[in-house]
Amino acid sequence: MSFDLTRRNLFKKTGIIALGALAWPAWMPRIALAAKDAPLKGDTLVCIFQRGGMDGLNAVVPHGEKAYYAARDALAIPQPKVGDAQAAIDLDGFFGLHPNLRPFKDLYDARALAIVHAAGSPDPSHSHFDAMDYMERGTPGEKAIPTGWLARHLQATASRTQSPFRAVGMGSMLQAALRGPVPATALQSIADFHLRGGGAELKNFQASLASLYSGSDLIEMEAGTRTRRRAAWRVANCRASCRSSRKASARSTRTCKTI
Amino acid sequence: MPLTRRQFLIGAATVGAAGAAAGCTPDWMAGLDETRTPDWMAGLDETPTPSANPSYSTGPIIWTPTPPAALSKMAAAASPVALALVRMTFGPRPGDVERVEQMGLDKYIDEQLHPESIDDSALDKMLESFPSLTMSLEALFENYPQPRPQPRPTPNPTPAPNATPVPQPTEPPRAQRPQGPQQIVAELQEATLLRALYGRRQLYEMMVDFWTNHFNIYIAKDNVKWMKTVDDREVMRKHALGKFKDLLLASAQSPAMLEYLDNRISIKGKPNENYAREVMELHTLGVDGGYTYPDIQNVARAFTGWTVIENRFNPTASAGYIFNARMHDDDEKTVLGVKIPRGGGEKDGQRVIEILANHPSTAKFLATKLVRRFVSDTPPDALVQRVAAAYQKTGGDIREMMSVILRSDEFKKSYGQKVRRPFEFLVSVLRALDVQVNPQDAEILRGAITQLGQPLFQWPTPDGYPDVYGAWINTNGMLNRWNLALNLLQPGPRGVKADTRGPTTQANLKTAADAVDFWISRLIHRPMSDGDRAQLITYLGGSNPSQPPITVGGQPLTEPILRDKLPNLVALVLSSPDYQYR
Repeated sequence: MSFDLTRRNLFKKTGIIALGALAWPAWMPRIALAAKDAPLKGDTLVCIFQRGGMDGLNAVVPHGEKAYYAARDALAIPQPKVGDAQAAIDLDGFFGLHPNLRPFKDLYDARALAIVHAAGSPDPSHSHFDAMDYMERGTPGEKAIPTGWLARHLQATASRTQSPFRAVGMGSMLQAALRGPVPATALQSIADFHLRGGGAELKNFQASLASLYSGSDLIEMEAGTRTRRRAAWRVANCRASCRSSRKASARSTRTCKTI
Repeated sequence: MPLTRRQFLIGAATVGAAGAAAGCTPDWMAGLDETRTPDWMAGLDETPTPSANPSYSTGPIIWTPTPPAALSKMAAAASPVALALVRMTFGPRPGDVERVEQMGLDKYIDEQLHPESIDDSALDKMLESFPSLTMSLEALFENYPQPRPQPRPTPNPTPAPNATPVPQPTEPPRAQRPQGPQQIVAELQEATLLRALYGRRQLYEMMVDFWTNHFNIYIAKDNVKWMKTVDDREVMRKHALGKFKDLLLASAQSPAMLEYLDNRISIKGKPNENYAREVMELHTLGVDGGYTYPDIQNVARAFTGWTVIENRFNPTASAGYIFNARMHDDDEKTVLGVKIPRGGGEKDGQRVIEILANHPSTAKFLATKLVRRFVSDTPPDALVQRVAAAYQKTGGDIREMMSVILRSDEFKKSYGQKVRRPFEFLVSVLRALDVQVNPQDAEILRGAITQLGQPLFQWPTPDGYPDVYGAWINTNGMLNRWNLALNLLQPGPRGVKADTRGPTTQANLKTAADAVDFWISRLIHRPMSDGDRAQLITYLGGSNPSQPPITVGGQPLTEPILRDKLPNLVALVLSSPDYQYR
C-alpha cells in the first residue's frame, strides 16, 4: 500500500475526501504560473485537530505497562494476541495500536509514521474553549498573541509563494491556528468552490465581481495588496469543473490543512 | 473604527482577524457529549502552572490585526435611520427607511423596545403551520417518538476518488419532511427564520437570537431535540427584553440546558461541573470575571439535584424541571466569597443565581457582548461602562441596557463596524427583495443557512456563534454568499425567488444608470463609490465589462436587459463588499 493510497483512505474516514487527494480546480494552475520564479517544492503538511480530544492511551496503548491495566480496568485495550481482533496491535513490544487503527501499522512498519506520545498543553485551564484556543495558537496561558501556531509557522518559513492557497483550512470558517498575517483560505470542499448560476451571464458577472472586490482605489495601495487583489480576482473567476484539475499534482503547492 | 474596504478584502480573500472563537465546522463536531472535558480531568493538580511552563518564543512575528482605518471607498455613511434599521433589525424592507424617517427614530426605538405593543398576528397565523411550537415537553415526546430505524441501502456518502464531481443543480430537491424529533427541530429552525423574515417585532427577534447564542444549546445532543423548542419559548422568548436574573434562572431550570450541560446527572458526591463552569465563564462573569476553581466546584455542588422529571411515556425521555433533594449536596458552600449555609436545598442554586446576576463582572460582561452585537466588533469602553451602569442601576433590566445602546452617540457613529453574519445576510436579502416564502417552502431557507455556514441551533459548543467579522469573512464564506445571491435571483420553476423586474418597472426607470442607482439605494441605503457604480452600469448596459464604462449610463432598459441582466445586477449589489456591512 503506497503512502498516497493510505492517505486517501484516511481522508475518506475523516470526511475530507472532497480534497480528492489534493486536487485543485482548473483555475488553480494560475497560482503556479504566478510563482514560476519560485519553484514549489517540499512536502504537504496535513494537520488534524480533534476538537473533542483523543484518548491517547487507548489510541496508542502502553500494553507493556501494568499500571495502565490497573487504572483502566474495563476500558483498557487488551494486550496483543494473535487472532484477537479486539486486542492492541503491537508496535515495539511496549506500545501498540488500537485495533481500529490497523492501517497505521503498515505505515509504522514502513517507517513512514512516527508517534509523539503523551504530549499536551501544560496549561491547567478548566475551560474547554481556552484549552482548544491555547492549542490552536500554541500559547498556553497567554491570550495576548492573536496568531495561530500554523500562521506563525507560515510567517517564519518565508516563501516567495504568497498564494492564499499556501495554507488551506477545511471548514466554513478559518481555524484559529491559521489566523495571522499570511494568507490562508477556508474551504468546505473543492467541489463546491465555484460560482454557480448566472446563466450565460456568469462570465460577465465574475468580471464585475472581481472589479467590485479589487476596485480602482485598491490599486495604488502598499506592497502586498497586489497579492490580495490577485486572490480576490481568482476567487471571483473561479469556475466550475474540478474535472481536469484532478490530475493536478499534490506537490504543486505547499499546503497546510487543518481540520 | 470602521472596517475598510481593504480590511474587508483581506478578510474576504485571505484571512480574518483574530479575536474570534475557534473557527470550526459544526458538522464534524457532532456528538457533543464526547467533546466535553471528561470529568476525571477536572482535578488534575499535578499539571504545572503557567508560570512554570517552558518559555515559548514567538520571536518577532507577533501580529496584531490591522486597526481599520477610514472607509476610503465609502462615498457616504448611511443615514442614522438606515444605520439603525440595519443594526437593530434583520434588515430594512422596501419603504421601511422612509416610514421610520417619518415617524422619527426615537419613536421607532421606543416601539421596538416594547414588542408587546406591536401587532404581529399575521406572523402568528403563519406559524400555526408548525404545531410543535406550542406543545408541552410531554406532548412533544409523545407526538414525535424516535422513528424505528429503517434498513438502509449500503451508504456511499463519498464519491470514488476518480469520480467526476458534477456541479449540483442549485435547486434543492423537495425533501421528505423529517420524521420524529427531527421534525420538531426543523419546525423550530423554520419558525425562527420566518420570525426574522416577517416578524414586526424585529428588535425582539434580534434579542432572541442574541440570547440563543449567549445561552447556546446544541440541538442535536440526545434529548435536546425535543427540549430546545420549550427552551426557545419559555426562556429566550419569554425574557429576551426582561430582567437578566429571570432569564438566567429560567435557563438554569430549562430541561434543554440541564440536558446539554449535564446538570441533569449532577449528584451529591459526584457533581458534574460542566454547567457550573459555563454559567460563570459564558453566561455571567466572563472567563476573567474573578472566579476560581473552588468556585466552580461549589457552584456545581449548589446545583446538584437540579434535574428533570422522568417521562412516564418513555423511560429514556424526560420532562420538566424538578428539584430532587436526594441528589442534592446540602452542606455549606462558599461562592465568590459568599457563604451559603447548609440545609438550603433548592435555594442553594437560586442563591447562586442571585450572586452571579448581581456581580459587577456580569454587568460588564453582558454590556460588552451587547455592545459588540449592536455597535462594534471592538466595543467602545465608555459605552460599555454606561450600559453596565444601567444594568446595575435597574437590577439587570435588559430593555434599559438596550435603550442606552440604541440612543448612544457611539451607536449613531458606528457605520462600517459590523458585518452581517450568514443569518443576517440571508434574512436581510429576503427582506430587502420582499421575497414571499410560504411556511411550506421554509425548508429551503433552512438549507440555505446551512450552506452559508450558520445552521440554527447547531453550534456545538456553549459559546455560541462568534460575533466578530474575522470569524465569518473568508473565501469560502464569501463564495457561499455570492452563490446564494445568484441562485435566489435566477428564474426557476419553484422555490424562493425574487422579483427584480416588478420594482424596476414600477419605479418608472428609463436608463441603466437609473436602475443601478435605484437598486443601490434600495439595498445599501447610501451611494456606492463612483468606480463601483460605473462598473455596475457597464455591466447592466453593456456587454463587455472590460470596455470603459459609458459614462452617461444612458442605455435604455431594453427587454433583454430586464430579462437577462437585471437579476444578476441585483445579485452583484448583494455580493459586493458594501452589502456585507450591517
